[in-house]
Amino acid sequence: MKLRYERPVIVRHQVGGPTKFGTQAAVRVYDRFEGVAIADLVKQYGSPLMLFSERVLREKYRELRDQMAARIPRFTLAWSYKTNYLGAICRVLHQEGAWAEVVSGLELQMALRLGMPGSHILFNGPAKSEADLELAFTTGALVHFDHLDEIALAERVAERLQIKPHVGLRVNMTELPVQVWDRFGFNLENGSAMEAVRRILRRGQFNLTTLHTHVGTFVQDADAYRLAARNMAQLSQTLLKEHGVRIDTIDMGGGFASRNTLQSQYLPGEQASPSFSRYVERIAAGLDEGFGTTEWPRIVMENGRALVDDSGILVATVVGNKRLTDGRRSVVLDAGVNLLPTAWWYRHDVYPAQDVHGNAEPTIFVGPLCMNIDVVRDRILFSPLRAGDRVVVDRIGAYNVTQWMQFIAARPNVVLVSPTGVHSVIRRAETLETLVQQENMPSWLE
Amino acid sequence: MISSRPALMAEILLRPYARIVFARDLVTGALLLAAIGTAPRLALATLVAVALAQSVVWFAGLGMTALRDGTLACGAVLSTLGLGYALGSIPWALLIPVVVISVLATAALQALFVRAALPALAMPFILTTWIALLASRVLPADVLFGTEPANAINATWSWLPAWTTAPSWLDAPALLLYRHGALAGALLLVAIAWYSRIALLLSAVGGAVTMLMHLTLRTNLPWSEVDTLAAFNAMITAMALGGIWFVPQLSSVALAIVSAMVVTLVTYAVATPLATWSLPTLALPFVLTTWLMLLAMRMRETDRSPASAMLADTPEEALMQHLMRVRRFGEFAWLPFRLPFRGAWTVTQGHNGAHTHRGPWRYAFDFEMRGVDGNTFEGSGRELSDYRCYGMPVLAGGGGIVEQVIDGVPDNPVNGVNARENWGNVVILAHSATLYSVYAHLRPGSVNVRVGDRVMVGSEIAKCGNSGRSLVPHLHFQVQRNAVLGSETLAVDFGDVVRRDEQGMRISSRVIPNEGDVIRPVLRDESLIRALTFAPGSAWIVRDEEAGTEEMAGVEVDLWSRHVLRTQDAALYLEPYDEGLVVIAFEGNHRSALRYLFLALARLPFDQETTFRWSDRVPQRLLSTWPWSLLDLIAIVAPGKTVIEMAYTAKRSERALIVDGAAGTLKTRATISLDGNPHRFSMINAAGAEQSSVTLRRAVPTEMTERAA
Repeated sequence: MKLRYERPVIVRHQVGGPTKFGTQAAVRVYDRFEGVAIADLVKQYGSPLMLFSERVLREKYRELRDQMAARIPRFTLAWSYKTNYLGAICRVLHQEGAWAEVVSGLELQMALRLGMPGSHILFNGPAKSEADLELAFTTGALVHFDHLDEIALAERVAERLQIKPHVGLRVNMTELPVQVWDRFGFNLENGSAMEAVRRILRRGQFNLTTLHTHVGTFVQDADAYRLAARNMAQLSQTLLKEHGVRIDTIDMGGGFASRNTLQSQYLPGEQASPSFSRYVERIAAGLDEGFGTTEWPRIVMENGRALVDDSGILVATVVGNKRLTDGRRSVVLDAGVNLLPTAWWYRHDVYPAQDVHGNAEPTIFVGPLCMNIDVVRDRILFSPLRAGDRVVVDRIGAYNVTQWMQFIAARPNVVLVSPTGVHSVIRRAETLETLVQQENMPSWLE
Repeated sequence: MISSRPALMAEILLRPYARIVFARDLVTGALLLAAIGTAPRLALATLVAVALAQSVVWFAGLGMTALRDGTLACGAVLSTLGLGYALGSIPWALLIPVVVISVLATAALQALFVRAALPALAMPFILTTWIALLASRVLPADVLFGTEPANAINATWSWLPAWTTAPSWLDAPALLLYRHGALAGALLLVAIAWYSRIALLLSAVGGAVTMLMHLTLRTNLPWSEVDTLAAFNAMITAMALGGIWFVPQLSSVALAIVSAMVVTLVTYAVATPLATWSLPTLALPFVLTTWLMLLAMRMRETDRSPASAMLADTPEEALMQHLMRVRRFGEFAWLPFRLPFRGAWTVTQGHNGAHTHRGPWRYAFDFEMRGVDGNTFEGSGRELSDYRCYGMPVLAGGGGIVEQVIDGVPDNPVNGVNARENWGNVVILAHSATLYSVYAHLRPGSVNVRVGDRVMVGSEIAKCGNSGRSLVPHLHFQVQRNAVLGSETLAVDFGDVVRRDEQGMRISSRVIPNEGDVIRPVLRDESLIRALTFAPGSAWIVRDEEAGTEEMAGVEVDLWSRHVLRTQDAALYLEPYDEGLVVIAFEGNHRSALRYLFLALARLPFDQETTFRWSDRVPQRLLSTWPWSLLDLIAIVAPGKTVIEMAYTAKRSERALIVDGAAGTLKTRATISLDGNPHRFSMINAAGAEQSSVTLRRAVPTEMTERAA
């Protein structure tokens, strides 16, 4: 493949130790996105601006797919809608062959609206309504059960529809080297998973074909996947032996860490997060342990964050500068945690979008909200910025466009840039109109 | 399938006759019976022999399949004819033991020769006839000949005109049935012509060669019995080698000519010594020559020009199968090897490699994995575990039996070499008596098969390691003709290889990868598998969109485990194949809508890629208005003219995979629906519009939901 041209950057070499402001770091100027000048994009689409790279998205997907391909005989990747359900993002991944993983009736409708066949939709989540279940069953989406009341409700729905759907069972485990993630599904160790299986078999209203587990989120100990996969393999064999139930799919969920750095983390994410290769190797090792020479069922992965995080950036404009009492320079941006809820989790990388001059000093980036919590990046060495300068917050692709808030400010344009540098809005900026059209003024207040 | 009792009876009685010229077809059998029937008593005797032989087959418990197959009883027909020919009489006292011996000898010799992968051919019949003739010498004349005049058994109908029984050049074909006479010879030729025009052509070539041999070697000598014997042996040998065991091609015709020369000489050679023992030559030269040629041809480096034929009913079908199946799947073996790994690997040493793949080992492959950074390792590359391919699954390149396992050779550290245990840990799989694949430098303790295990293609046999003469972890793969580790290598190609070229991802149905190529096997896509699985027993509805007519199609499995999508008057044969859909043949009514399914989509690899390309061939027949038998003759000299090379491009969306096909002005489109809607197969006209559309949908939708009973 032809390598992308990268402009050479000359950085003045500073001899000697740290200055009184700390060590000097070479600053990357992030002024082009997929070959398009960020200044031009901001001129066209306004600031703040969310940009997504189609190329990076496809490449991340293919990286995971290729790692799976090297070790897993049969697998399917399902796109976790909640991570980013903008239609264009979902479409890119569906074009790559990803199925849809949804966790609510609304998301189920989103996937169907995009044209996903029901049989390619996996329906998770702890709160499925009767209407949601009916839609899932009639379209052929695969429901993963979360609790007994849901099973009972689903049985009534299926009975009424006179169908016997294929279903999955969400299983959780306590004995994994991660924070216990037992809110969802049925616990393996205390026997409630087997109890749920017996419950499903007793009524005979479903074909139980899938076992699903989800180790956690931003899991940095890849070995947890080995243990989870081994347990799932053993459970599926137990089901075959004890109940004659043949499991054809094991869904290992998602939870791979992206290359962002957690607030609590010392090493940068690029070094600390396991690679796809490492995760998949552990899953394969677990399946090897659990299945031995028995043929593996199809493996489903439901990744979101690790696929999309790298593909998005947020461009923000400096509104003003001030000096805090502790000496830090505070930079006020036009985008804050209203657009970037992940700033509470991550120490996002922030880069200048134009040449900067002057010594770097500890800087705090704060947003436009009139709230103390609105901090984009708490402490970072940064050269002085002037009002009107732009900065880029990197790796914001996951969760932000779904968890962002309509709070104080309106949400901006989201733009997708194609591998050839063509760009288009994929979600229009909100205006006052967008907000008030949902409102209603009671007649007595007119 | 045969259902009625008379049809079954006809099959049991007539097929043994058809087998004389390698046919299964019952009309051919009837024509051969008619050829014998110029001598009515002889024909009656053979019918009695067949009935007797088939009873032996039945009561000896050799099974219904053998009964309908007819090969066991075929020898009885020939032995009866042989007795009539050599003795001039078929006494009951001999007929019964001869039939019994013939059936048992055929069954026994077939089983014996299977071990050498050779057909028993006419050998059981020759031995049986010889035994009967040698035995007849101690029998009194009244037992042998009774009160009848000599040669009464061979008497022809009295009303036949004299020329029909007079000696002529047609005696040579007639001798195939150990008969004389123009009418018998002519009927035999008609039978062969009915069975296969290619076989007729080949037998003519064989006869002509003997004629030329006679003219050059036996100049001035009259055409005698030995020449007729040679001619008939040459005819049947040319047919067998040129059209039955090898795919009819120009090269197989050449082989037929050479074989005819050999068989003529062998006839000259064996006729005299056999005559001194009063034994008739019969088809012995044919048997000896065919064995000789089959064994010798097997020692060729590649099975090409001519290629071994698959089991087929006629040479025509063998040729079509070759063009549509063998050539599409692989050249060097019946089926090409599957890449012995999962995911994308790089060929770091290919055929005639720079380092060690030279001389007798020139057809070996080394494989490693490279990352996007181009490195074969992550991190420092000092630890084995840094290497991307280290510990990756190694898969069986083909189905077979584990021949040899070496395990326990420790992995070398990076850049270490173990020259003493050169190959390191090794698995050798036997795919046939003459085809073995070798996987070397495996990780110690990772081999999970044992000698004698049966492995399926693509199943995991070990993990990639760094044992033996291996500096960095890699997989060494080679194919050999015998099981001895380190034997001379054979050239092989791989099936379903996915590579990136200038225009994107391309899937080659068979290819010999080059050094530096990044290749991966097909990445099976669940949506496509679900959309296009033709499960045996499932029902589909084929709709001709132009005519507005619908017909039901059922899926069956045939003897060669091909899946057959069958409508009232046509059938589409599908390769039983996990990695994609491959249509291998269309048969039946030329106007059936089913042919558009083949024309629009001869093959679809079930890959996960968003867009991908491949090419494949469809038979020209499907578009042609010419008689198909004529096209088949053309296929011998110009196989390329009978197939159309289609270039396919697939593009995926949420709901469907759209496959555009193109070959010159012929344009097609197949829309494979992923959401349970009908699949659509169309021709694209000059204006770019779809026409002659056919849709295909399941009669019973099998979504994730099933209607409760």
